Amino acid sequence: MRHTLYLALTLVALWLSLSGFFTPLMLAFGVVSVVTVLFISHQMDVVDEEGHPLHLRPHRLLLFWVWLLKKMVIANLEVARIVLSPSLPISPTITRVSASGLSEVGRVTFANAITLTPGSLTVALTAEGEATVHTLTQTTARDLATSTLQQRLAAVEQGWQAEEGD
Amino acid sequence: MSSVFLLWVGGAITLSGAVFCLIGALGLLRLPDVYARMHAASVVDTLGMLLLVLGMLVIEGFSQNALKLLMIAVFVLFTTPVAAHALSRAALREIEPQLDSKKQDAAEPP
Repeated sequence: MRHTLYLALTLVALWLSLSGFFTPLMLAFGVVSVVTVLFISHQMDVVDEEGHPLHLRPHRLLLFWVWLLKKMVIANLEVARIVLSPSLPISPTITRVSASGLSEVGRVTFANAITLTPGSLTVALTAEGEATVHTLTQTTARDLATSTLQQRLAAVEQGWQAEEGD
Repeated sequence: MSSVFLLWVGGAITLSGAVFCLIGALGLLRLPDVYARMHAASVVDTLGMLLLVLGMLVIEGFSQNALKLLMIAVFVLFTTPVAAHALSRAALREIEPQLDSKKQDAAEPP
């Protein structure tokens, strides 16, 4: 029920920000759309913790995104440098990194964060949270091994286990 | 006056985004195998896309369209890693099953 409410609020906000019209007819269309989407989502059984993770702490998540953005820019410049070097200095490496201790959503965020930074790509992710990562250079693989990504995500999710009986 | 200034600043940022997209495309051509090429492709949909959106944001200013631009950026950032993951899994299974870390063949120059 809590998730349905949050989904409805999100959909209303999305409709209002995309439409920008506040005439009764348009608002009525909005209500019909939101109710339809809610109904379909329920039929598909996707209104749950996975689709709408409420256990993430918003300000921590924002901090995480800022950190990830910074990492992304640095990684982009590095890959651009490699691509533009005449000698193409790549040393493809496969490494395994652990995302244990995170929720399902946390593990997916972990894998996606690695994929989002150019130069590293999550090829596989097990249910236990072990990610197989392909990196463009050995340096990236080493950096990944000492990365604070898992701790940062754990901070975003702090206390999620306590809420699991939801 | 200031809107002309913002147009130039936004234009410059958009152009730099286009340059990064070009670098990504170049990497796609130069790099040797499917995994390495995906690294180059992700330059396009991270920094390339972000700079394009940022440039348009500067030109657009504070408006409803700016909000839509931000949403585009967020949706792209949420969906491209999933697509990349699906692609790399398919590559692992079908195209290049030998994920050999020792294979470090230097690519021939273009």
